[in-house]
Amino acid sequence: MSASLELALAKRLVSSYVDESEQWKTDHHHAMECWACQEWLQRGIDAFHWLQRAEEVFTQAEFHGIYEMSTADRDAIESLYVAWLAPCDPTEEWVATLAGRGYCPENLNEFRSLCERARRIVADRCEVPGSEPASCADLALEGFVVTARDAEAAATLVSRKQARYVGPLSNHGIVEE
Amino acid sequence: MIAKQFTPEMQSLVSGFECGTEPFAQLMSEWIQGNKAVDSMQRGTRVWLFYTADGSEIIGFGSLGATAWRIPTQNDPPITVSIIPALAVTTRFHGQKPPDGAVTYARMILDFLIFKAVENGWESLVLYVDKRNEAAIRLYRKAGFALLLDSYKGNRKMFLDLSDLIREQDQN
Repeated sequence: MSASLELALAKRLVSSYVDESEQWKTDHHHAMECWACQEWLQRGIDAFHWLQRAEEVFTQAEFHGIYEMSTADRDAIESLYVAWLAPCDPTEEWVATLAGRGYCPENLNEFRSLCERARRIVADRCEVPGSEPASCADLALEGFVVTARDAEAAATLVSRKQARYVGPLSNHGIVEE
Repeated sequence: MIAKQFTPEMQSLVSGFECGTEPFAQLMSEWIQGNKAVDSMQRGTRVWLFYTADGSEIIGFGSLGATAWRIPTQNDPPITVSIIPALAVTTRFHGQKPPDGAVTYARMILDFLIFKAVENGWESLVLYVDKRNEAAIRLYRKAGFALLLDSYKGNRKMFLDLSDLIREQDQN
């Protein structure tokens, strides 16, 4: 009697162990896939930061008058942003599959925010056929507020400016009425 | 060339203003002819009309305001800068110089605005330029503007360090 009870218990435990081992394998596989996805996202994040760094070097060089960027330089950087965006949609599909299994890569939010930044950059820099350019004038004073401190700082600067662009305009053939 | 400060009452003078057929040129014509110039002036922008020396013809217009920009990159803190919201030269005077002039009318208008920017006191002058407007980009580059990589809605951002101009002059 006791032996058959023990056998029944053993059967149940073995069966449970075997069944759960299949589930464990699946869970392990899904967890590993989530890790793989996380690593993939990190590759994208790192590539984006390198691209930003390259752009920063160009921009600083131009800003300080060390280097004048060519159209080819600009096009190269723009095309890298476009290229970077290409895997975003398939990656989101992968992320959605993982989410359906209850997994979420830890760096997903960071990756998504970079996707958004890249989309904005591409939208701003690349012409969309048939689209109207934004009015420069409309953009110019967007959100501008001059503080009293700013005005005071400006007044101080004016007082010490003895420059090419301070003095009689008539020297430049311009009469102001 | 004569510079006259533009007021809303002068809008009838620019009803026929035409500075090109490109979309960016048309935007400039609409800017001075419609409400945008007046709206901008209400926010502190000054606008001038420029006439030939005998006052008979309008050459173009220029404007100067102030804004806050992050330069040279979006990672930098915002600073207050002078800005040229709009500048245009009528088609008839594109690439033209005054009879006794050394530089084009466009450059004279730009120089005038740079003068005014220095008077404003901000050490930087910035502007947006349509990326397709190569003639304007050349003009601004010749005046010392740097083309920033950062852009907005198809418009390039350009930057002129006025403090450099001041130092140059001090050394001369």
